[in-house]
Amino acid sequence: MKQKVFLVISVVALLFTIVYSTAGGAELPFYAQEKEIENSSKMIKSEKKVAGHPVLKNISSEPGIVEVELTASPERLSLKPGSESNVYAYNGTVPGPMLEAFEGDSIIVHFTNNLSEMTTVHWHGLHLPFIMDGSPFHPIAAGESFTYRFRLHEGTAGTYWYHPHPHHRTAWQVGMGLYGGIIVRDPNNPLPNTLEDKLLILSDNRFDENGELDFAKANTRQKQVDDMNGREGDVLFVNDEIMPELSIRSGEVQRWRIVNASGARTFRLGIEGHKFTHVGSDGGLFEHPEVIDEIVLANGERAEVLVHGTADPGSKVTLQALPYDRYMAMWRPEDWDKRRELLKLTYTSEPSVEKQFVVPETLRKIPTLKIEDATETRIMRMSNGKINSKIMDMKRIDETAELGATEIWEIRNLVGMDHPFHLHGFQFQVIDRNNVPVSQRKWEDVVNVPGFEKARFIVRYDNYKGKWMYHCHILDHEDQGMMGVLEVK
Amino acid sequence: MLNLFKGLLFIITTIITSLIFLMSGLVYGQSQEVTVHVEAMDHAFDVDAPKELPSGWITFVLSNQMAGEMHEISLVELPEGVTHEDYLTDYMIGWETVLREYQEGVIERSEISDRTNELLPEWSGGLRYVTERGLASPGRTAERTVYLEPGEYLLICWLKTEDGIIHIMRGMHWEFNVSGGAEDNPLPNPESRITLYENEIEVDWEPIKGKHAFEVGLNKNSNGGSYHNNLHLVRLEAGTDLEEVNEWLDWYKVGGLRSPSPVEFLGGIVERVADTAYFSVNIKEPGDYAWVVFVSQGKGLYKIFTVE
Repeated sequence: MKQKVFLVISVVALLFTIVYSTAGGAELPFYAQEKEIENSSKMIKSEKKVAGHPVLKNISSEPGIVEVELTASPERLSLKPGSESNVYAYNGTVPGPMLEAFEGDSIIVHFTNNLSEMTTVHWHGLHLPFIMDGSPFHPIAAGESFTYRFRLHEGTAGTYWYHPHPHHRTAWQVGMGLYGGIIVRDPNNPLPNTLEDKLLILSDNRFDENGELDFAKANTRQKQVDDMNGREGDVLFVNDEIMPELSIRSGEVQRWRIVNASGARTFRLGIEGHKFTHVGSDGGLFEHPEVIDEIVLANGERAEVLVHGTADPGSKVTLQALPYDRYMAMWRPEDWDKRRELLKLTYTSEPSVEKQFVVPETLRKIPTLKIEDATETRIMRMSNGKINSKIMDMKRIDETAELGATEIWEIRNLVGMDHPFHLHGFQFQVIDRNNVPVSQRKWEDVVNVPGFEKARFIVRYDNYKGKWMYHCHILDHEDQGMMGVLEVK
Repeated sequence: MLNLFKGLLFIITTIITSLIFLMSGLVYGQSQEVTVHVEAMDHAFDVDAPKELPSGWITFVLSNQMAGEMHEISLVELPEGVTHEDYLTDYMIGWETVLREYQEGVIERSEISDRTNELLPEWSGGLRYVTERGLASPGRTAERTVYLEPGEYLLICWLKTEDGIIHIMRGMHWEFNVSGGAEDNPLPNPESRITLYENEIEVDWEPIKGKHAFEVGLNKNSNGGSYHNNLHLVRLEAGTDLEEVNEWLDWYKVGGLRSPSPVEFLGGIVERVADTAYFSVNIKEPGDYAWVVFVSQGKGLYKIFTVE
């Protein structure tokens, strides 16, 4: 009898293992395993969590292929305690589930638009074919489906995000809740996989007295303010929570990947009494880590930082959104200098980690784009709502370049507020700001240019022809037409 | 050997002389003509100049080759102790409020003066507008030469967007400082003179195509003030109504100085400080043109001419 029971248990265990493996969990990286074990009963229902996020379920069993299903639909969700709101959501959640893959993987996303309006899915920062970019050139009508297919290039490990990009409707759709994170992993991760990995997607939103998302009505003072500053909200979110709590052990080092997914708010982040080691930007890890007190993240930008648990066991600290003046004097909000709390970091009562992690001096080698190889300098003059005095016209090509060419872009901000400039399709390297060379090469796809300043970056148009958008990533500005088209032929 | 030495000496001397000559052109020094190139955008200025300019005569070239709307250059000197930010916040927000209330019908035109007195800061009376509204339509370039005393200045555009927002409020301002030390910048060298009398525009000039520099004399009335303080050059189209142009030039009117304009402007002056003003225009095409003097709530002065 005991043998029969043992046999039944063994068969059940074997079946469980097979189901587990085919569900895509067999080759989990170390940093995901702990969460997997904790959530193993849910995992079969594909509620695997990585870096604090639900992950899009890989329905392919083939190695090197990540095939997922993504649906945008109207939902009624509780974004803040005590009220429900009409939102847009990817797969029923705000933010949408995370897309996780490795360099070299082929990505297949079966996307369905269940909204009552057209949308797209833009894979912000990824280097992919033009028709897969989810730009306004490839809208997906209400009720329609589209399969995005692209390959993650080697050397692109990093933190990215996805969001809609329909012409004139991006601020609305992102504000309604359509955004999600992407982690592209390096099979030869230069940082140890034992570091706790967190993805923090920062956003803000505004609610009316009934708990519904609040967007300014036409011909109102608030609409004018939102048009100028971009729509900011007074409720700040980290992932799907307001003021969530994370824990850290004294002496521990955690790897935080931070995405600014808000429509307009710039996040200046700091933890009192703590320093960060800044290890990565939009396009992945730096060559050399930089120790900093604060991070400034403009819209669309990402940062990877190491958070060092330097406080005593049992203590509590807060990640704060510090005041950041990105505004024209005439439109600066009265409460711009208010410190806001984002996240509580609680130290466990465990004694301090004995063997502390030492950050390597070199993280990876980043290829140099040489200024002498540049064949053109393009000047972008940014005013509020326009680039080079032009409003986006889908029928117009603003700039033309040759495939494979290396070029310099000079981004001049001619007005008194920050404008974060984003180029689709290609990562670039900032060369200098106000004629002062930057400290090191980094891959970026957004460069924030403060008021009356300028920045230059160098870029090479590798692999993909197409009509690539460039624009201010304050989403209201983008929707107003502060956007242009670079055709790579 | 001696020839080789002489040759080397000649080359070195030539290089040094060239460098000195080049460097003298790169910095604003004494007796240098100072020109500031300003590219107008919708709605910003791209200014090719340092933030510190020497005092004296300075020519501002307003190039409106990239924008889709008409723009102007106004220069305002701030009173002692008032910052650029004070002007953009306390003063401009006051004006923006008055304009919005007037456009929405909350206040009448006759109430604007009282309302501005309520809203504008006390130091507003100390602002010194050195020049205003040398209007340049898209595709045109206009020049204005002014004498700047040392002080803090803003270069601004007071025109309004199609929906009635002052361009300054959209970001069309650039701040700079004027310091002493180069008061002997060369005087403007106009080719012709225009005099503004009470009921006449007197022009001592033979109209032909090309770039022309003018001196404008502002004739005084018995109170010591000028009869008129402004002059504009416009290109006439069939059916252009100059009375409509005069109406449009009224900033206080709801549709005044809003894009689009009823006629193409090639430059001009508004002068509130001096008795004489200097400007240049570039007439590229033959056709009918008019000098226009805007008269507030009245009939404008016009002088029509043809360029063959």
